[in-house]
Amino acid sequence: MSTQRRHLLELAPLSAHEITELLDLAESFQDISQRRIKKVPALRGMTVVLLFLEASTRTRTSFELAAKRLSADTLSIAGGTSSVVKGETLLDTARNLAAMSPDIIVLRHKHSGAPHLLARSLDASIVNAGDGGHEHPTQGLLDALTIRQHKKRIAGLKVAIIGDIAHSRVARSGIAALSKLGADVWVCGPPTMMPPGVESLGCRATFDRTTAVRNADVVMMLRIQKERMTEELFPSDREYSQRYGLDSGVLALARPDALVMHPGPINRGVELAPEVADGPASIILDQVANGIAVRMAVLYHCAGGGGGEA
Amino acid sequence: MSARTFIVGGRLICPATGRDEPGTLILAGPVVEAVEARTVGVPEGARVIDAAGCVVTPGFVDLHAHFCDPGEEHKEDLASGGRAAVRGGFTSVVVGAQTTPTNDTRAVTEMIVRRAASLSGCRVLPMGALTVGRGGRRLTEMFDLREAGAVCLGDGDLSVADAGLLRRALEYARAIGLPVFEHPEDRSLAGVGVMHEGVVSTRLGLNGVPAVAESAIVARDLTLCAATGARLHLGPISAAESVAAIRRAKADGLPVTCAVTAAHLHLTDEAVAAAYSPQLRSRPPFRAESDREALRQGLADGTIDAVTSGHRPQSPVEKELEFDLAEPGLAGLGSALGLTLRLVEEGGLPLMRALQALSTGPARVIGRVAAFTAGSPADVVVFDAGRRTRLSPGEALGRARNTPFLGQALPGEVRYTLVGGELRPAPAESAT
Repeated sequence: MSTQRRHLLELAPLSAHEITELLDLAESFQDISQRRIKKVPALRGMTVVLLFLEASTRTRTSFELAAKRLSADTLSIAGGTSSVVKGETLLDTARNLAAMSPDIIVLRHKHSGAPHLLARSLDASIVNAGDGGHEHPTQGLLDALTIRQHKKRIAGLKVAIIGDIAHSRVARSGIAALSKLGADVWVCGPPTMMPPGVESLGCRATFDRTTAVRNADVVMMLRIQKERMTEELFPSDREYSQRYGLDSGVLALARPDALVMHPGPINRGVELAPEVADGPASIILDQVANGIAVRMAVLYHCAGGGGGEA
Repeated sequence: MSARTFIVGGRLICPATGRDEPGTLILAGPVVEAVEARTVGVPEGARVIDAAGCVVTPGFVDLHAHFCDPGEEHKEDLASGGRAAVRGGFTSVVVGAQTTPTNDTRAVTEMIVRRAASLSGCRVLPMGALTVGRGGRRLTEMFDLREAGAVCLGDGDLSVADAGLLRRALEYARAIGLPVFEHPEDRSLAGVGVMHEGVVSTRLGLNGVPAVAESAIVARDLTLCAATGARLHLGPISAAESVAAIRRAKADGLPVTCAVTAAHLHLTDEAVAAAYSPQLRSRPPFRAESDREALRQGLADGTIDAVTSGHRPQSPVEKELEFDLAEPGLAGLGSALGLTLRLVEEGGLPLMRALQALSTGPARVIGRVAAFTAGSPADVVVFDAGRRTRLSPGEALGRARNTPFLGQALPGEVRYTLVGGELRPAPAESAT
């Protein structure tokens, strides 16, 4: 690989070439998950710590399967069971883990920049599994891979990302990956959910759902995060769903072969109508399957790519 | 007759009188006796301080510092903060009311004044709280606070949210004769923000503090200042809109002053992007390039009265954390002179104006005198503008080391600081 990165903290600084190579690598790992024996010895003897200090089922299990299919030893620590609940700082928790010499620490954390804190303090490779409202780089990669597999290209596609852009790490990683690969990325949401200067991330912005969806090749719906404070961002689920949700009527504005994506978990009937979530345009479960291959590629790459300088 | 001190061979710069020429500064005990442009003979028995190659100027006055004493002495205390101050050239320091317990009663103010007199080395000038417990509900006993030694009234790093109460506080303070200090930040607009709201916060996925969180309070406070006629001081300010509003208010003749921290004259939100370094978390936040330019312009044209250290020490316990969780603030006493001189070096700011913003300007805000005129306090700093000081952990920073400028070589090296005619730190003390 042209640039060996020890950490994967964010997609924003990666080049199109680097992203493409990671996607190619992920594709090469994909068939492993289709075999009867779903395991290769690529990371045998390596230890991967899954430090998930914010609730997550999908991403944690995906990383865990990815590490195991590469024969790494895994250690999974979740927020509820960790000493963080006893008042230990993130850095102390991580230093204690680092004393056990893991090769890679995969971190999910509710505060932006937490992986950067570990990366500058520890020797292990740090993989960001989602940090606050910043980035979720493996989600961005798996979204790009899923689109590429269905459309055979990314350049020139119109991709609409709809929802709470301001607080979405999925949006930031998606914009970074897809815009670098040449997609025409649009973001859409009510003004309260649009961060200032969002265009500087590499996208176009609109408050109008129709403008975003019309002739889109891909419509990516973001989850309304009810667990966060959202009451001052929009008045009600009802109005949000009517103006910024995706149902079959709105989807009809997109290209006939448009794809519908969602990072999960879905709020059925809020951002996504059930008939769309379960309809033929939905590739949500493909995203989940590709997640494992992408995470295998990222772990393999950060571990040194089987011979590269780490 | 009290002991005389002759500071010889230096370049005397007094912003109060506009003097800038070689000469001898003569101190008589705790006050300035005279300034002699000619070479004068030093009488037998007088103390001589050699200032050859150095600038000799009135000691600096800091309007916004926090010594964390009483309450958070693990960060700083009256002794360590005082040492950091005099090593940075500051002879007077206004310490915020955000102590624990809050400095909202005569007893607390008296205790700070009394302990500082023996511990600090510099003049420690307490800010008395404007409202009880800084809670924004009830006025403090302001006459008492003044009698105990408070030089200004304010709720530390909070502004009074209730406009009705602030109006009454401004009115009442007129009888006290002390300025009201407001830290202009609307807490509902600042929300959960941790950095300047803009393109960089969008990129980093951090919650932003919009510039209007500051300028909305500035606008409200200026209106109340005009209505009440009370002396109002706003600071530290960070936003271009604030500078513009205060410039207009001053042109209208309002009794308003404002201050900026030395760090805000240099750092912008782009610095945060480097690696989410908690050392760059600040209140108010470091804002956009255009804001920094407006602050520099405001300093140059006199809209901004004072450059302060914004000294807010934190221990690693408060800083080695996620950006969202780290406490804001930097230890600024050791870098305020250097950062101000850097503006002079870069060519935008005359040295006279820079020193005015460090001494005469802030002194005037709190009704004090910083000048080389007969009878003025013998508070003097002697520094070598041609040398550089590398910021390293130690006494230059106080107890804390939370500064993004750690390891940088900043212009200027403080040689001597005299408070009331006495060398600080005392020579024996600095030898240990």
